[in-house]
Amino acid sequence: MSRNSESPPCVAVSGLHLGENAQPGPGVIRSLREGIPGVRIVGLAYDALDSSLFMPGLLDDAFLMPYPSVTPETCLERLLEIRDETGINVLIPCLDVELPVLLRLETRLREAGIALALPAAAALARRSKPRLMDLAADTGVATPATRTLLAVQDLEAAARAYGWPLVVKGPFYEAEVVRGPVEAAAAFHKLSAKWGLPLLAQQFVAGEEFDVIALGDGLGGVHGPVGMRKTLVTRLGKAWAAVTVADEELMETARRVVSALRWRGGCEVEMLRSSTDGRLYLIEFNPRFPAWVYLATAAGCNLPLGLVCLAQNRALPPYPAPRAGVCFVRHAVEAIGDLSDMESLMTLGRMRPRPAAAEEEAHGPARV
Amino acid sequence: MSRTDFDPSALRALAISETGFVFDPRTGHSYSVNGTGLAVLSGLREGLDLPGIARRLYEQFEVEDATVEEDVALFAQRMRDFGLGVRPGTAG
Repeated sequence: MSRNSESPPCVAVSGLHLGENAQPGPGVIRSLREGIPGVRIVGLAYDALDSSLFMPGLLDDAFLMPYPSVTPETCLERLLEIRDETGINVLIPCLDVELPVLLRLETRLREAGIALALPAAAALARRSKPRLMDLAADTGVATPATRTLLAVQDLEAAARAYGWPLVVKGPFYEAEVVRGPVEAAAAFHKLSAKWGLPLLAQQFVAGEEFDVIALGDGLGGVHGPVGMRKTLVTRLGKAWAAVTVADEELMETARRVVSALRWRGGCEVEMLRSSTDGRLYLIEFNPRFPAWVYLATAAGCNLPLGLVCLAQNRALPPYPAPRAGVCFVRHAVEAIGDLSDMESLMTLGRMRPRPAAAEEEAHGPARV
Repeated sequence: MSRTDFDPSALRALAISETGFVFDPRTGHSYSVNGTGLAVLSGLREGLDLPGIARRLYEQFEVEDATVEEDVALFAQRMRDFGLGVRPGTAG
């Protein structure tokens, strides 16, 4: 199956689970459907219960993928099988852990007709949590002091240096604010069991978190940045509701960081405005769009659309100043599947998601 | 208290509706104020100092001078506590 350059793209998207720790795939897909008439979306799932698989109208096709921790060759083989079945010609990875594997496969995927917009390996490493202090220093942005934790005993030195509370962070995901040695040790064991070592201990800065989503063009250009403040957070500190803001200092700081990295692709800059000194502190740089990406689209900046253009070496759309005061509240619903969906996924590694209008047909109209 | 406690650009940036809904686009916080609060915000945006705002309210609502001055000062302090109309980091 092949597609010429004029047909709407067929885009593979991962990060499909919209659970408590929400992934960006659904917001990326919603933005693409709004921005590219006729686009086809192929979902790449890592679990048969990834929620997007069961949402009517979101995906045109869906496949199970091997975990990124298997060999790159296995991932490549699977992506090429999916290309042969569906004609995917763009891939938008939405999970941090996919990036190292895809960077190794980028050239071969391009040769196989699958376009990506990935950051350079050096940029990916430079924004990693252990190196964030150096990045902040290079760009003149404040950041909380951070040190590596290789063993639970290292917490003592971290607490001596930073005092309580402090923040214990996983290498890729999750962070916990801990207020004493017992809480700190519990967080250490929990996070290291889940994500492995090393963990990080970070000085706690009191204040409000502001996040900026943006698209970097790889040449230092920063496109369509949108800032927001979380108004409801989950137990994990993830946004369940948020509102866009217009703070020039926030935007300028984010631009400086994204530009210094010469970042290519989607990203999120997490910052905190200290309630004591009013300064902005860089707390994290996420190497992909965040789960709230659709808020940016609603505020006037469809960044996934730009990412597809970037991957296909086409001109980016113009981005206006985003509207402040646009808000979202996430709404959890039960996405319905049945045994044949599970059977198809688990035996064939593929399922045909329902189209938008099919829900009532499948389950019958409501009756009284 | 001088008028310099408030930041003119931060005050100008506020989105204020006639219904008393106030949105601060820099922080994303929203507030609800009554008619008197609206009058104080409007006076601050015009560059009046707090005694000037109190005088205007006294004329508008025909209440006792001392009460009005006290209320305006309290309202201004609440704004500072919330970081509304002030430079970042100067709340409270």
